[in-house]
Amino acid sequence: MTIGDYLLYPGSPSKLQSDLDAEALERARLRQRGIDSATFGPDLLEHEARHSDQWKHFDPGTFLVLYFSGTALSYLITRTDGKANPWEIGANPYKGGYWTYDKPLTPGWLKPVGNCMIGLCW
Amino acid sequence: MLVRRRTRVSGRVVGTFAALATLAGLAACRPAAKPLAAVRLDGGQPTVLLATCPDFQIDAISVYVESGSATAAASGPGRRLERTGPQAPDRMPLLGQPPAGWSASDSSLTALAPGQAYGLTAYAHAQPTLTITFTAEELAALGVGEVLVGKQPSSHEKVTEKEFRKRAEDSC
Repeated sequence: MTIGDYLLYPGSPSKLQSDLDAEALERARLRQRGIDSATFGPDLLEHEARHSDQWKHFDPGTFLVLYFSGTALSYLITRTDGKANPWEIGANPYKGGYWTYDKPLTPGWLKPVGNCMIGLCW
Repeated sequence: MLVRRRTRVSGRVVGTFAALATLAGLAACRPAAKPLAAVRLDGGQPTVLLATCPDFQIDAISVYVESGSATAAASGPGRRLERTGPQAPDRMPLLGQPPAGWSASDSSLTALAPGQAYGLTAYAHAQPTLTITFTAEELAALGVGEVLVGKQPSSHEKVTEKEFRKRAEDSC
């Protein structure tokens, strides 16, 4: 979770390193298949850095209201907190682990719309 | 662990929101970890038990030394296994020669050191399962049919294998 410029990670430094190693492995697997792993691969720290950028455009109270409105919207659409949250999509949901390259999303329109939001319309 | 990057929001504001977020049980910014891995001793050898969901097929397992500190990095031998075969078994030895369909990219951990805490996390497409933190003594103290499963934030819980399988299925 990112609050402003602070990343709150609910684990130890060893666990974070293990997670980052797993992400690097997954990106390597995608690259081997010819897939743009810098876009479609997991990268928690870059995802959280984008959240940090989102915070700077609003005062903290406003951002929290907007973010959790997005959470509510996501829950209505997907029954999950983040898969359709515009703020998670804006921070690249592939990097944040909400979307996986090979897994389809329900509803079917979500992925093309979300891809457009992160500049991947075509 | 708290990592500070740049200064735009004061620590006080962060503390307030962090407390509110914790109180509200919010888990924003990362999908919740599923309880799909457990650990126990089989014939005196550490064994990891795995469960899968239709959309969560475990493809990597990591064991690492835990320092017991939220900020201090730990160093020590670890173990990293990567799946090369089509699917994960429901159990496999944690140490020694990897089973068919798995390869080890880190084999520096050959035995659990007495009194040392270890973390075990399994992954599917880099998404982590609930981490289990344990020691060799805690594994040795398990009864017949018992396993250790992860418990937030960094601990474990002793349950039966049947209960582990049930929780795993429910999490899918």
